[in-house]
Amino acid sequence: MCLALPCRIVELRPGDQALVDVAGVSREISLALVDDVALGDYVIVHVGYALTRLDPEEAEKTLALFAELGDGSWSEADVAGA
Amino acid sequence: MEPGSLALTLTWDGKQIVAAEVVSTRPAVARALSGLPAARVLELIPRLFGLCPRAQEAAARLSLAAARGEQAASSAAAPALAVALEAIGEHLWWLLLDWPPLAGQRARQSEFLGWRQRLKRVADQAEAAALGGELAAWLGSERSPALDDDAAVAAGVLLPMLSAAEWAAHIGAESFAELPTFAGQPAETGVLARRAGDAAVAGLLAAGHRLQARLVARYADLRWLAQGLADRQRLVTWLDSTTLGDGCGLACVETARGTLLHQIQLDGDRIGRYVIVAPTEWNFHPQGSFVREIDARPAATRAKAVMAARRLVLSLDPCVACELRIRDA
Repeated sequence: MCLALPCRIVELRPGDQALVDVAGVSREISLALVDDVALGDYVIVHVGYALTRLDPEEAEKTLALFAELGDGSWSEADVAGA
Repeated sequence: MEPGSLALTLTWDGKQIVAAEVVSTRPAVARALSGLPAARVLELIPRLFGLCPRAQEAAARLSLAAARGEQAASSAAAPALAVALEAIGEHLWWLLLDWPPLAGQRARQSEFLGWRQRLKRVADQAEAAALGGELAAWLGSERSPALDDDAAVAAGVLLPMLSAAEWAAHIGAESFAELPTFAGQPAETGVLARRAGDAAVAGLLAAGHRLQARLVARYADLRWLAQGLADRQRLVTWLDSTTLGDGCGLACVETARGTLLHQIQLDGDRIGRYVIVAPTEWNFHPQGSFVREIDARPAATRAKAVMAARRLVLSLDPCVACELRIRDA
């Protein structure tokens, strides 16, 4: 089950690429499937693509939810597999 | 390894793969829902899952309604369309983004984007039917890619499409969510299981060409879904639920990757126990289709061993990332 953990965009790169922060580790992903993503926005990632963009408010809610359900360690790490 | 992914370790002796091991560290999300107010779960579930949130939401709603003893059958039509559109999107992702790079081609990103936007815009039955027509036309013009699938593997059990009431007898053991079995054996779910009756799929299956059979089955599944967009009665067969005694409900919903099961045991108006069985648990069971089919597969080089494994992984379409390691025998 792929968990929808929000990842923050920390750098925009040429060619529709971006760096996201996943529990302190940077990963390059493609932004080809989402529109109007800005630095600092949150996205949900699946196999190298940002699937959806989240409003900061929505992202905060989801992050709080993951924090509530787990101790946070698995939920953040799971994003690599999400 | 990273928690939340599947670790696949293969042992290769220079000629063939001689052993395969699957280790899953996926978190028990469903277990974490215990104790929450039941109503809140409906809001949480679609937020928790990234890939098939509509199917997860539908399964949560249906199982909760069944646990409460409510009749939910009449309301299955709307989620059925959302579930079908989601499955179509997942199949197109697979065919246009995932598969081409493994076949030495470029991902068809702009085509995928076009479909994704069209899928998102569907707001009513008439638009769904129109999109179904477009999709059917496109499928008619697509040539199913040829695959040098020369391996012939022994038949494995395919999971039948059961009603929720039939499922009730099969879910019991505490370990079922992590290690599901059907009639005591690991079984495969997904396009192959769903389309095994299709003539072309059945022929490939009989010859043991399961990779090619899954590829053909995925097109067959998409054709079925395209027709379903104009025929809601067809789509509602993908969702079912049943009450299992006092305060307990079970729902089964088909997704692109296979059967998704949700079972809720209420404790008053709170969740007493929540069980979610996702398709990946079946196909990447430690004795499931992945392990059975990769074991003894010939590979003259390490690169060929890696490619064989990556193709099989993609063919079985896990919903989480896989880390692949090749170990020398």
